[in-house]
Amino acid sequence: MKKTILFSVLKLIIKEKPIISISIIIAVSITAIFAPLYLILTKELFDYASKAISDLNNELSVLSLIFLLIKFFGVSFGEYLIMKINKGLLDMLDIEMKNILQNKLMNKVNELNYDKFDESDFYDSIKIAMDEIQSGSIVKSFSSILYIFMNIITLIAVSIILLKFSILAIIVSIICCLPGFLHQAWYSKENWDFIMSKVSITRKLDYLFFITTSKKTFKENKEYKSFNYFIHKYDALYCQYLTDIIKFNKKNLFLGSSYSLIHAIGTIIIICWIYLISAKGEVTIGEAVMYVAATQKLYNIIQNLIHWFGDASNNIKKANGVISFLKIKAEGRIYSSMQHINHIESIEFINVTFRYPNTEKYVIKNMSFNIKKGEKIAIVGENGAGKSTLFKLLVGLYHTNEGEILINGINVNNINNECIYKNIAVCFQELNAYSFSIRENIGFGNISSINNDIEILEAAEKSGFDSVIEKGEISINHFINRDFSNSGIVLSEGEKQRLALARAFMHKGSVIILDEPSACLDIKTENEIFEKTFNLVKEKTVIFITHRLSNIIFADKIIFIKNGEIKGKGRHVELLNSSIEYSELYNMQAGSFID
Amino acid sequence: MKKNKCDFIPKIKIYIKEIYKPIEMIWQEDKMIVLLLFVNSLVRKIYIPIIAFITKRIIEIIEIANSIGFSLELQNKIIILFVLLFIPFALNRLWWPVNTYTQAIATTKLTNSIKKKIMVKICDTSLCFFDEEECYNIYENCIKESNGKRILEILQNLLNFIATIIMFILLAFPMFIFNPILSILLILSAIPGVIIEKIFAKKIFLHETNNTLLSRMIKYIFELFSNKQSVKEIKVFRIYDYLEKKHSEKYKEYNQGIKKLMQKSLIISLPAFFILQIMTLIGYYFTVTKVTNGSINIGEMSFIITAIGSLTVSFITISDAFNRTFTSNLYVQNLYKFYNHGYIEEMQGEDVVHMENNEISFKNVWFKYPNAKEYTLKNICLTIKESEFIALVGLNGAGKTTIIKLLLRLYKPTEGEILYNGIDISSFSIDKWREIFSVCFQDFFDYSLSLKEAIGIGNVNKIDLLANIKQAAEFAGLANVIDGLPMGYDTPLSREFDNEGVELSKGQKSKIAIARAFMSDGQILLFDEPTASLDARAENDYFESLKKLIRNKTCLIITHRLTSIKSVDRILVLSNGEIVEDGNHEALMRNKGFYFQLYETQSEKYMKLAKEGKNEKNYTI
Repeated sequence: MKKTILFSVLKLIIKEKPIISISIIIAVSITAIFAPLYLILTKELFDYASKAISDLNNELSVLSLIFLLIKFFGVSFGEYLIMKINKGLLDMLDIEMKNILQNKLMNKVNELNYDKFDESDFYDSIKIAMDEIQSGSIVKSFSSILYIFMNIITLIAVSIILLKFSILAIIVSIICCLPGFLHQAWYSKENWDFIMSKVSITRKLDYLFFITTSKKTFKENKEYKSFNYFIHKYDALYCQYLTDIIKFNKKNLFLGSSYSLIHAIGTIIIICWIYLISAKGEVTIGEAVMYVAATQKLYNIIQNLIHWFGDASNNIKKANGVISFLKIKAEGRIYSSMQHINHIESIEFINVTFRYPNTEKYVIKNMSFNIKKGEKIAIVGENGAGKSTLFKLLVGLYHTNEGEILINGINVNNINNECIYKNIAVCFQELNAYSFSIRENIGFGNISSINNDIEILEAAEKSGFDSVIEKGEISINHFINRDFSNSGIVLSEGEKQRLALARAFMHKGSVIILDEPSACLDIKTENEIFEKTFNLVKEKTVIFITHRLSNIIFADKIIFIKNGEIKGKGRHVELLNSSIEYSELYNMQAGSFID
Repeated sequence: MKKNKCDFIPKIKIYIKEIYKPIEMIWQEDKMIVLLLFVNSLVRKIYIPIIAFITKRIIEIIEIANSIGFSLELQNKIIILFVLLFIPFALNRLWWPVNTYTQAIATTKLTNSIKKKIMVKICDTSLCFFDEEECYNIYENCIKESNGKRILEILQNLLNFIATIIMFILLAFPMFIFNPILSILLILSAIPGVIIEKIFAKKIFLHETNNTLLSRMIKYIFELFSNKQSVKEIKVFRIYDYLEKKHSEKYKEYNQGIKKLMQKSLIISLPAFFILQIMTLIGYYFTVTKVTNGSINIGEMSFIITAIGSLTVSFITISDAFNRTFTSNLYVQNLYKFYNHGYIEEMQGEDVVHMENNEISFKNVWFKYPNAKEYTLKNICLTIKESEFIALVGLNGAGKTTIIKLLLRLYKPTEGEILYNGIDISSFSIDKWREIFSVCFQDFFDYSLSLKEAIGIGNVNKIDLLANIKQAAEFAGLANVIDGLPMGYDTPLSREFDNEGVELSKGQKSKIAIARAFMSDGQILLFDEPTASLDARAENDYFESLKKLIRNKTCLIITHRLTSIKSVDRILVLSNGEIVEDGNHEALMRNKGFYFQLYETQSEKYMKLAKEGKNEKNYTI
């Protein structure tokens, strides 16, 4: 499994950035030879010194010393140069890949069906993928593997040097490091599993931290004095978390230390052996120094390999978070066979039934209705009746196989989503004010006109947002919220509503759907906006959800929904007569106004 | 030059202060870890000179053994040295596992410590803290970066610094004795590299600080793709391409600078290294010549060769560690600015004085938000008597919510005073004062906890009393919603943490907020437009429940919908921060003022609908 992930990582990097990645591979390979060269040169230096004590032929010796030193220079400078270049290349690769991966993730989310967000695992996988992109695990996996490769080459080269001394030395080194290796492999897997099992706890801890410290919950926390309640919950959860972490790490500490000691003992024995042999005169001091250095080097390389194996293992697992996310397939819809539409002449629901993915309860049951171009339809009903869901189905955010939704007589499942979005302007209930400029916030309604100042100002005027602009004495290039601009304006709920409406007005589609467009507006503003809106949309089809039943005056037809079913449709008077529930609902509000 | 010297010392003092606080934090958190870290750093650095010294002795013995034979005496000496060699060798090998351990534990504990302190500080913070821009920035930065790793790094840098100095001294001493000039030249040759490092580090730091805005924007755009709400809009408005382009542009801009810096740094660092290497090799040459003419033996040569290399490296490390340690640590500064901010609510105060008929009065209250140009409330004079049911009415921005904030003492009046039974409310203890209210805010929060908790936090003391929670839920009209939930009150209210979670509609969420308010059981009810997302029936239910709950309580509701306004005792009309009308429905309608206009705007629609109905009826007949 790891091999396939590794393979995917390598494929990804080499495909996206071939020049940089191959340069890095070459640089790292070259690096491998410097260590053994250095060992040999050290031996020669000591040998020279030893000979020079007893040698009388000084003239020749000086030149050869200088020559030796030049070789030293070549090796160290070469090593430094290649290392620096390598680091620079890796940093660049890291930056480039982060960008590429972020783009890929965003693209993937855009591609995937909206209903993916109803899967709780999906939240986890997006977050994991995002974190891992930020932490650069893809490039780290790549570099870990390369370093392993480099260390193996160095290992072989250094072993060849040590081989001249004794093959036993190599064997002992390797045997001593085996427990350490195995432990590291065990630890990597255990650590990973451990961290994964803690993801939901850490998310919960983060959430508790968030609701204790967020500005959004501040007033309520102050009033209910619930700070301490959340802090206690946090403490309890953290205690458990800490205990588990300490336990796990203590175990690793004990085992890791034991194995390190075993390795250390083995290495020291070899080193002492080398010195003894040298004391007996069987090898020169220069050779002894070289062999000792080689043994220590061997130790270091093996430690490095242990470390890099663990690192690579971790990084590859983390990288998997990204890779597997990018591999999620967008379900089922074959885009080539999609149809296109230019206007919307009619919208029809035929026996539509729907429930959210992974839920039991049906939110929409057997709904049927017909909307013709130019009609103004009010959708009325109690909370949770399914009104917003209806919109989401209409707009193609969710799909259903039970019943049909037809636009211009064609099933929406066969229409390219883009076309639907192009023809329907939406104003959602949740008011999103993006921390971008006003221009962008409004312009998102019709992205192709985002630089058309006139259109944007017109849309603002239609919804009444222009008064916000005038009051603040700002331009449409001003930022909303203070995230990216100190002079950004913070909008009230009512102002956000007007912004969202302006966005809907930017859109040139023939259908506008408004989900409670006036929930946060005061009576006067609501009146102004509704009157303005309906004056401006005479030829368009408008479908709106409202709780303020006085607004049905703007509608031609009303669809009354209860518990996911349509309990009545038609003109207001028809409904008053035909549906007791409707008239009951209506009179609850109207009753007090009419005496 | 002089200027730099003068700045230097006070700057160091400040940096020392900045280091002291986080280290104190770590020390209090876990003393063992600090000691472990210290010993670990020390061992890692001192290892080199000690091993070099022992190796020197061993080689000297080997030299002697080679010339006069490996006598028993020499064998004993060498064995002792072998044992001595083992100890630092083994200790050094333990560095890695110990480091892994300390990292994991210390980071966890520190992160928790930082977060806890933030949470505790927030408890005492007053609302006006968030109105100051600088404060808000500090707060935001703290929250975003509340990770213990940064603090741990500070300690590690300091320990690294100290340990490297010790190592340097252990190496420099013998080197100076060997040849002071060579030693000084070696150190000097390392200086260009050090200076270049410092310059580039500074440049990179500047680049990052100047570009935090860019990097935050990049992150913001990226994160829009993990949020269900924004993804919905991205799809429906088809703004993916736009966002992607923006993201790429910002990314390119941000990295343009970095790339250039990296390239420059590579090119300039080469000559510096060059100088260092040449000097090192001159050192080697000199050393070998000394061996040749018999001044030193090979053992000493081995020590000096090692020392030459390590001396320069440790010098570079010292300066690097110095830079890292004694540097302006924005992160720590920020954190402590937040911990020490003075926007505290005054917790002290008297008990609230209750009487037979309690009365709240606003005496010439003027209020404007900090840094605002205009007054939000102007000359409010108002008396609220016990058991009154008052509706506060007016357009958006008229100041209605502000009155509630002042009543709850989230803010203080700029001028004038608010009295309770004749006593200024600011003399009461804030906690006791807030207890008398039950509040439902307009911008209530949608908690991803269980239903029971989401309602129960209205009164944390009673959160485990299911009866109270049930009652609150019923009052708020949640009974039939709960019947539909298989897990009942334990149902999680979002799918963020649990696949069994349920996403309620906005209207249902409002009911939870109302239930919270009911839980808190105060004598004075303050409800701020909770019915904005409620349907007609739910709104009706809500008013009915409210009437049930009110009994003898005082109630102030802010409302836009005038539907049930006739059941209210008294209506206060707020316009542009002033109370323009005050009376019951009939009186105000007779007045034909602002209220009359508002009411008519609503009622005329219903009248029209009724008329249409009559016309239709006539027609069909």
